[in-house]
Amino acid sequence: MKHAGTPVAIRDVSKHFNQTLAVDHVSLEIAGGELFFLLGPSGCGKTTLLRILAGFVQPDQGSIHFGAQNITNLPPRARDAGMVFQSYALWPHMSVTKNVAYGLNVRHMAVAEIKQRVDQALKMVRMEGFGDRRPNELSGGQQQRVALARALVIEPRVVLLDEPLSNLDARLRDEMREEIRRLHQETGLTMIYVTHDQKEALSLAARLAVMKDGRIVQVGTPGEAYQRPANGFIAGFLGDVNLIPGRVLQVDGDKVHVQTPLGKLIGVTGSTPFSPDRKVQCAIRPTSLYPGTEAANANVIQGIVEHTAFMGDILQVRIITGDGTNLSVAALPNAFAHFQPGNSVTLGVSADQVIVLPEDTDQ
Amino acid sequence: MHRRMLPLKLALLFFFGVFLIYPLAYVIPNSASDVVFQVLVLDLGSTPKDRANVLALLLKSFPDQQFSEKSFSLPFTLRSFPTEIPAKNLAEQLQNAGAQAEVVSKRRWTAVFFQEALGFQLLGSPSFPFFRLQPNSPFLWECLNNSLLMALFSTLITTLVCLPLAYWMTHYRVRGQALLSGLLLVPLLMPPFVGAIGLQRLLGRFGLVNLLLMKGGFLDPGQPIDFLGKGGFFGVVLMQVLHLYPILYLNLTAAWANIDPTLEDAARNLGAGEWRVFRTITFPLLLPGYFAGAALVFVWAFTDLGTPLVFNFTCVLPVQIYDQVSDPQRTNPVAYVLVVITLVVTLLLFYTARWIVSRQSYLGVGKGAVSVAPRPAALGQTLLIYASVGFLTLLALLPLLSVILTACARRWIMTPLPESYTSFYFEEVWSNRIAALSMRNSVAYSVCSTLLDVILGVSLAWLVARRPSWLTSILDGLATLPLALPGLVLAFGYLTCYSSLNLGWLGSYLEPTRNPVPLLIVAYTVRRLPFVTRSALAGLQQIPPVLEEAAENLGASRWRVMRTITMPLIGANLIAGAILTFSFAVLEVSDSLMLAREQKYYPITKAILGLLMRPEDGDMIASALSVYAMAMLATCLLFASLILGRRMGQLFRASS
Repeated sequence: MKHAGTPVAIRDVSKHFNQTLAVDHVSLEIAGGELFFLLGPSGCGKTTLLRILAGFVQPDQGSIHFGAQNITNLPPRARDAGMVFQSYALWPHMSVTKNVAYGLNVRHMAVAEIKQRVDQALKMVRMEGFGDRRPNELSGGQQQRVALARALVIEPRVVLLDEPLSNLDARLRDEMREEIRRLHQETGLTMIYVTHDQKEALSLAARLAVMKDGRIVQVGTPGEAYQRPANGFIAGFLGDVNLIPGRVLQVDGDKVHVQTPLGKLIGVTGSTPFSPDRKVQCAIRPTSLYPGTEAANANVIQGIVEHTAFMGDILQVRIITGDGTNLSVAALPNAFAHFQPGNSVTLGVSADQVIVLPEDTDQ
Repeated sequence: MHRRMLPLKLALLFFFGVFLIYPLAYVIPNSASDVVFQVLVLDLGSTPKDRANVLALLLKSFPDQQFSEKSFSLPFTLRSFPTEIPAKNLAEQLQNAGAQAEVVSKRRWTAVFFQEALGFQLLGSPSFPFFRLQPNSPFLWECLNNSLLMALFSTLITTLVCLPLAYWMTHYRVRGQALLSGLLLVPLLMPPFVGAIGLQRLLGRFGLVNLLLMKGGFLDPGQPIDFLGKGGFFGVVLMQVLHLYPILYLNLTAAWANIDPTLEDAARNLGAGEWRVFRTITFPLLLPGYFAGAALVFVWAFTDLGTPLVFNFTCVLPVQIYDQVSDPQRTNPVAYVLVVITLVVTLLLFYTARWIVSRQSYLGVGKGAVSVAPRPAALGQTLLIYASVGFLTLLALLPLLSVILTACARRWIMTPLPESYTSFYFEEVWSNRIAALSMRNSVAYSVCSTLLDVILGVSLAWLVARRPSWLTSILDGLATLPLALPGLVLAFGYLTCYSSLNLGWLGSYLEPTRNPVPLLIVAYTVRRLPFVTRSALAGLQQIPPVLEEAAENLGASRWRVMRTITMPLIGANLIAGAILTFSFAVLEVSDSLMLAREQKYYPITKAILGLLMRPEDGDMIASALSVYAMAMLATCLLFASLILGRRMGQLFRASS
């Protein structure tokens, strides 16, 4: 079932619901065969955008293109955009086989071919042999897989996934994540995946778009978004981060010198150019702070350990600096000795791990 | 601790046993068997003189039979009688003559009665298909046919009316939706029995519509349109539809609102058009809820006694059963057959519907499944919805309005509207012995039965909610059985089984021919018990047991807990349920008609029927009485809805 996926273009799409602007002038270009993520907190408009792509919601302005075709005015049934719903939406009065075969029946395929395709699809999601069961006889993970099979079996141009893993427990979620990655690789279809879980997005996405209040705030690869977030919100959304307010002292090539309550910090910028005296914030990931000072570290921070929490794979440490700032440090468990509560510690962080971001105006 | 509940459970079991199981156990076998009373001679006499006496007696009584002393092998059956008294007399005579004789009752199983009622013969016929069915009783076949057709038509028309309504009310939000929903329940206010009186004035051959058409020149005065069709068949169907559509509507809306819209979206996403989505997804998911409501409608229409009686449409099963019970002790066995047929049809439909609904426990399969979110309706749609609901309600109210008019009319013959008005009949109701007495009777019976219902219902509900066990499950099943039992069947059962018991002093209380009041009250109680139990149970289930446990923990006795915690919490539910029970008991038709045979015991419904027969102004005074009854009912419903609010609908749903 491997064939080239269809590229998707979203051009300046907006949608109002009553007075609220749910989707605000969104434009995206998604390459054919890409596993693209729409990531954001609840209410950011990602599900609305997905439903616009599916055709269940009409945008107030803008256009949607699948490949060369403008599909903005096409009804859902003509779009060939297989959707996996958050609640799976498996029909309880039909068996698994009938559920999966539905889309093929609508396309008036020959009975023998339908049977073959359904068997193939079930095998692909590892649900062969479950054909005669009813959805209420399946576990959550199994229902999930049937929903995937149902959307994939019609060989759609685009696959739309609406938070498909949010109803599963943690371990199942990890398993299913791998399943989805495998399915994407095997089919090569364009997949647009909506979620609020940054772990899913970071681990699976080829590229992702972070959304907030209906707008796209950053588009890029997971690495780019994590290491070079465009603002404090994105930095915080994608993972734990220490945000330290400060003022720009001078700009030195790609390095920025910032005066902060912790002292002078040297960091790097994302894409935004800064001029001196500008109010900024420095984003430092808890994993970037090391005990001790090596010559490579450009920044040194002093503080006292307030308390530690052993999380199994990391040691979470809370440090209070001289001016009262709380810092979160993630250390390896064998650094236990360094971080006894009450101890005074010296932390170092290299300049390229200090991201200088614009001040958040509407955090 | 659980042992203490045992007396209560046994008391409930006893109640059901005597008043539910026993009548059924009496009726059902009687349809397929016959009891004969045989006079058994055990001994001809101890002395030769006695023996000679006995022989002489036998020769005298049975002259055509040869009796000689040698030809007997004792004991032998002398003669069989269908009833007990002649048998006893003969036995007494023999005993006085010196013999030893006794009366033995034997039950003979036979299909004769079924054959008589429903049997048919296969006869040859000269043309295709070369055979025809000749029913043994063409009349009864026609009655059965009519009943089935009536029920079928009622169900179909009700479906056609309710489907669009249910769709609109679940998928659209219109201003004043609460008002509309309330309006749609109005027909429950008006028992079709009463409305039927009004309908004839409206649609009869010389009723309002026909007369107006004639006056307007659209119709030839000699040829009025027979709206009520075929001797009243369509009149009955119309009244039933107008009364029953709220029940189907409630069931349909509940079922539709529960359908997860993403199930339909998923189908559209895979390419299905709207009709296909409805056909393959929406309709199959609606089916169980629909079937439950439709089964209720069908059964109600099938067992309706009052409406056909008012229209004088006698060729239906319920009326036939009613006619047959003039002398309960000598009831034609065919009546039993008819009752059993009714029971079979009813039980079959009821339990099939329940089974289908229970299979649908698959609703809400995925976590995060949602129900329908109504869209705001556009102006055109709003107008359409208001127009439809308004029209339907108006149709339902027209017979009622007609009844009110009739009650005010002094003279209303062959004119579209009454020639003159009067309040005479409203006053006469109080001076007319039958009418006034019937109102007092109905209120008294209903109050008693409501009290009994509350006591039994709350006890049952408490047992089911707090002390589940196998015995409680049986009790629960018994308590819901009356839902599946048409009033007709139960009343017939009471009439026949308690008439044939010789209970001595107890008999004077229970025997329906002597005093139907206790049995009437019990009949009302049993029929309404499921509603009260359900309403109490719903209330109880909303109270987490911890609330009661906390009170017990602090030292309260079981009774105190019930008084201070449980009852106040379910109070609203209970009062509303009691009010509704009272109001439906007042206007109860089948049991009242069948059980109350003497004028002094008449409840309102029977009085209305009786007064209707009065020449000249029968329907006016009957209408006046109806108006009083409906005013009572309306007041009760108003109180109940004020207390219950939107939860009213739940009490009428079949599946809850």
